[in-house]
Amino acid sequence: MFRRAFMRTAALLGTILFALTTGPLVSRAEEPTDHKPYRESKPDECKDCHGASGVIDYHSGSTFLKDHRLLAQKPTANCGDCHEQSYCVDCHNGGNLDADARKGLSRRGESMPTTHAADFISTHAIVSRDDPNSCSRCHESTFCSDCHAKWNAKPGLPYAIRPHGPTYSSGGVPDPSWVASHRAQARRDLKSCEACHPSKADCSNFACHPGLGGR
Amino acid sequence: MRTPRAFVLLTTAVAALPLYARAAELHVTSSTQLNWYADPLASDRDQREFGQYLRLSGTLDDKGNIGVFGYGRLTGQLTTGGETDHYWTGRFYYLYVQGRDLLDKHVDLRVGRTYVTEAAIPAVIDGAYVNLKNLAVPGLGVALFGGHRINFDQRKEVDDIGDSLFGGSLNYAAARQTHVELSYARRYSDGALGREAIAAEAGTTPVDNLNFFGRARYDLADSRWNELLLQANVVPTAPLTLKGEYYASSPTFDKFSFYNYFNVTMYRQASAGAEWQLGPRYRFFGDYAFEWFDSSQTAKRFDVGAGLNPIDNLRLTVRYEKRIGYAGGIDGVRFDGWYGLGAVALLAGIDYDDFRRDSTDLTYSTRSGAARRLWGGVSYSFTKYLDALARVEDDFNFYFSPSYKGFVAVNVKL
Repeated sequence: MFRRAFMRTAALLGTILFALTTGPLVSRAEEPTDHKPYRESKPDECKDCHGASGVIDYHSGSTFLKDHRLLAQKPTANCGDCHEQSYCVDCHNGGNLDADARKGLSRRGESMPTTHAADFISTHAIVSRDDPNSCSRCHESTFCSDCHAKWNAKPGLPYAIRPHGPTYSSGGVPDPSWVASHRAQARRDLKSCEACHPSKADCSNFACHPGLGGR
Repeated sequence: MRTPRAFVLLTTAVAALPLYARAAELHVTSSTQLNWYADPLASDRDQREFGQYLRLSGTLDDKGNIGVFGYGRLTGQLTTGGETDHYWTGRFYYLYVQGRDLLDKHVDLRVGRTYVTEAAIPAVIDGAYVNLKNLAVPGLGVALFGGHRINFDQRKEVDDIGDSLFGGSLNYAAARQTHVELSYARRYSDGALGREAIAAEAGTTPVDNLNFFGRARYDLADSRWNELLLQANVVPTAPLTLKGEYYASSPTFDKFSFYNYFNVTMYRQASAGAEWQLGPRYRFFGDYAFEWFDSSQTAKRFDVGAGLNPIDNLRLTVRYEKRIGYAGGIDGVRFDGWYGLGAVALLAGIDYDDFRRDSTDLTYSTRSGAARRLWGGVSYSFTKYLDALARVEDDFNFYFSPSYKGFVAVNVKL
């Protein structure tokens, strides 16, 4: 039912967007503004054109940290007028060439974007739920499972990952509370399962899901 | 040791570039760094590391249409112990030759280790990206790309994966910042089809103070919607910007992953935000988001803050974030400041997060605590070509006593 509602919503909104865009389609295409002459400008000086004159300021708003990917992925993106690709890499892949003192360091001394606030090891289990795809824009799924495996291999560490409830009550009999709870939990938060169980062995090796496909 | 070899390649390219760049404009940036941290996986043992970053960018012709860009780093652990199994590692981020407006302004081209930003599957590849433009229909472009997909882990490039990526896009740019793009990509892993996706996006600014954007991505390998985003930005008066957004996504798994067999509920989020610029010195902002995890689980997020520039050379930012609902709650306050004194700049900040992680089942109680971080930094510009930066950080949290981290960087820009 949700899928059908989602499809209808997507179709409706797609139609609206199409209608909005077909008007300008008949207009002659225009070159994106060349920002190279403004490359050395201070951010405040951007408002001489953006914001003050009614031209939307896409760049410096409080939500730009989240929204910039929408602009960067446009075919007409002009990020390169002022930024080199290293500007992207230094956040997305842990670089630190143009070192920014506002960025924190990971447990391994890697530079991290400011979205990783305070002690991120403590809070990432909450923050990562907010969008199942937000982490994967920078991290492979193995980033989670590799680290969780290391922590689980060192029991007694202060950060030891708390496992979920017991899978079996005794003698290979599935624990009733586990059977009841893990189904719903997996449906809403499957990425968390993957963080410790990257392959299907834990689910299919025993009597629970012997015919599970895939790796 | 593939990556250090690649770093040597990058260094060699820097040295050799002037030989080929007759009319070239060449920029080289080097950053030599020392960082230290307490390694929690080695009983909080103090670790120290050396890092050398190198970036080059240059043009190879008079018009500046052909250029070469490269970036990499080499890191070495100066202490022993801990989880590290490679004491000298590196990342070879990119090295590509770019041609713009080639063949009578019909072709843009990148060859080498380069990026693909198409919405279907963004990636970094060892391969080529070609964009054909100025075709029969003005504004219409066709892009094709393909190559070996690069995967970075925590420290280095993972060089034992057999990933490759191929795809293309059809894009159109028109007046009023209107653009439409349809992209398609296939990713193979060890020879097997891992992901296959198609994405459509469109955006327009029908009037100067109104902008719409939409994107939908469909996972062909999994036969399900992967992402939908609809966004509107409005500027009713010059200092005020309003934003509304609807976003839905489902987690992405490779086709051969057994996780594909689960019927995962799609995550949805509706949000609204406002930003108000009060003169040139003060900015206030706020956002609210409501999240749905399934029919019974929800969460709410608030974020309010201000950017203040009360006097010249002083910039302050303060924000408060609150999250309540599914998975746990966070009350977070962030503050940072910057003060410039000629060639010297002083920076400092505080992060404070009071958090509660809700248990996912009834076996364990919730886990709560406070995470705090104090940091400070100083930078000094010796000349236009030489500057240095130092940052120190102290973390306190529920689990361990103060933990010191930091780095010193010396940067040379030529």
